Amino acid sequence: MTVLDAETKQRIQSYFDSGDITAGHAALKQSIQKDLNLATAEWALQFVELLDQHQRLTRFNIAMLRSYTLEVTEPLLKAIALVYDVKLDIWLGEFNAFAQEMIIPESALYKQSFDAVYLGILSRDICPLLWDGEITLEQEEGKNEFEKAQDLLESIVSSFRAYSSLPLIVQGFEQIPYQGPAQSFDKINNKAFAGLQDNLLAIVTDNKSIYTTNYNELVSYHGYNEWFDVKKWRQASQNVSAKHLGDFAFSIMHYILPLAIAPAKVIVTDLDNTLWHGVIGEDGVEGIKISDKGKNGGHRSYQQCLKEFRRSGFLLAVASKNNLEDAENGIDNHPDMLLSKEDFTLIKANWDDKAKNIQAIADELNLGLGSVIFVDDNPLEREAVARTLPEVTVIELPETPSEYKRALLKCPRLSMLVTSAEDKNKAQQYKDEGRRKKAMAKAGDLSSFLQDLDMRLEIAEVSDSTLARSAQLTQKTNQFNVTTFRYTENDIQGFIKEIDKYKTFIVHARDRFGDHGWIALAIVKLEDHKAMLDSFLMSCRVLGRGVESALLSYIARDLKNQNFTELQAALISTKKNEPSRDVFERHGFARVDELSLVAADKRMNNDGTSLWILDLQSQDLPIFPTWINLETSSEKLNQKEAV
Amino acid sequence: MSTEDRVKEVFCSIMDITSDELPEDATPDTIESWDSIRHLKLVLALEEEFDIELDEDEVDGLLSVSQFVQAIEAEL
Repeated sequence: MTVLDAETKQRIQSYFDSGDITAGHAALKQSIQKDLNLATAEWALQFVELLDQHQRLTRFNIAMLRSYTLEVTEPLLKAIALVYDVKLDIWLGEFNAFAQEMIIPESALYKQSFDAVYLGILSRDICPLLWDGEITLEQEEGKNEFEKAQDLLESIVSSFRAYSSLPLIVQGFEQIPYQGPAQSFDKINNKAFAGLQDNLLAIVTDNKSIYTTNYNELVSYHGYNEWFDVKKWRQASQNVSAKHLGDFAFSIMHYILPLAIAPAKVIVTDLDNTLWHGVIGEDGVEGIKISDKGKNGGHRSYQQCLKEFRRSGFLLAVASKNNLEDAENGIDNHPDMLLSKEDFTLIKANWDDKAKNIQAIADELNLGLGSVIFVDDNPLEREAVARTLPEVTVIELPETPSEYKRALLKCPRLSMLVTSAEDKNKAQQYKDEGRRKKAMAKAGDLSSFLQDLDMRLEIAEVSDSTLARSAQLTQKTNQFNVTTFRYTENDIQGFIKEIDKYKTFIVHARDRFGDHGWIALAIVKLEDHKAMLDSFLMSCRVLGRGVESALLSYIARDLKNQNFTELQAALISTKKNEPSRDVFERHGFARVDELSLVAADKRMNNDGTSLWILDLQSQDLPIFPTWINLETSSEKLNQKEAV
Repeated sequence: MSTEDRVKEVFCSIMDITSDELPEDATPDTIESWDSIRHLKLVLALEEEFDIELDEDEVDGLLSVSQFVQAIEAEL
């Protein structure tokens, strides 16, 4: 898949510039269906406001909670929504904070108004040890990890239901991929992930408007190895490779779009070179082909696909430029036709333009044009319909007939959120087997979640090995960052060298979901028994777990032990640091009008700054959270060994 | 289009700026929207545009358009 070419971009841009919004939108819809990738999506989104002004788009606002990076997928989801005249707004939950967001009724999730919520937890995140094969389901430890995951899942979903009646889409759990050795752990451990999926199904059938996605099938369809980008996962917890971001986004839209707008009702298909290969009016019944074999094969699959949609309740109709008798001859008399005349509610075969015929079909069926999906192999026909009847969903059909079926299946307007009888059976079986002992609908509580998290911190001074990471944290952290001072490695090196003037603290975190790395940093300036927080920042992924409390508590005690009397701090408000605004207030700092050390620092003297002080001689220093364990610094251990 | 032009085009889309707003050499200091997420997006989008893989140890250190151009040309 290539990035949208300059020529297409220019063409679309010139439509918009000349005020022909309909043509611009039609061309944009085509490009997004055909060439969706990150750069195309970001480029397309510049037109959202213009489109919305021209023809008010349907609004849909979704909260997406997740254990992995979704920021990169976000623009693609919004771009796909534009194809279906929807303006999608997305609020992303904090990285790996889904549990606290769903369990705490005061969390940001419940403070805002959404239309739906998406929950994406990867198998590797919910049961990391089983996923990696470090333990197996046959061991006590493995059973424990699995049970804890089940409890967590039930607890967050039931909390959610207790506090919200919104639709909830839960991403399905994927299976461990192929390992190799015949005796490999994947067979045993995959029972855990299948179990989680069954557990989801049981939750889904118990609860109205909770849905689970076919994520496992999606990954296996594209192939795990192609799907998973191991480098980006290491760097940024971005699991889906750039190549498959479009597929991922379309798959999610199969669950979001049916909640935003009604599914389509009728699929209008062309005949020649769409339903069959060849031109019936010229080639006759003997000349047309309906097969998946050979160079032009694929029409049989396309028909199977239409038949399946017919079975699930969609209507089928024909719009073809042909004589009616030729058209009917092909449909009735070709031996390989899978669809019969009875499958088509209406057949319009004549020489009128297609838009006129589609309008007639909609009128006769008493449907709005927005209920119509149009499939045609001819790009000119597609463009004409897209521009004259912009409400109609025009499928961007690839040139190769073998890809027709996929193009149709990709369209989220053909997705309906229903629970099959099969799902219900499976869920029932699962319950009967007594695997789900615990009653649902008991809202989980945060403290037991935090206790179970097994959070372990290591707090060290910045050293050569953490220098680069420290600089990076100051450069990249925006939300939980009280001063947002940016430093280079050299700057930080300078702080480390001036032992009398600065003290640095860097925090490493791990919990039962894995290793979060070095995620928080504080730089404290020292002067005459007084100390000032020059920088105090933390990565969002550990927000809501008390890491900031642990660090402040640690710093306060450390300074007190060295006979410092007060800790001064400034909070410089920026557009992005809302999550850090109440940190001093929450930890017993008093707000003041003036501070000696702050006054000396020009960077801290502006309107958006509030000043805070903590009396280190007081008995009420910030409390170290009971659920966090402090580990011995591996840094110090290493140094000892070196000595 | 030259490598540099292609990089600039992708860069502008990702950073949500127009080509007129692109300084002579853009860095995280001159481009307000250039944060860690946009950085990741930029890397992904450029890898797709040029069908290459940038060295994972180097990507975090690519902090200007010209550095990206150099790194990409080394892979082409």
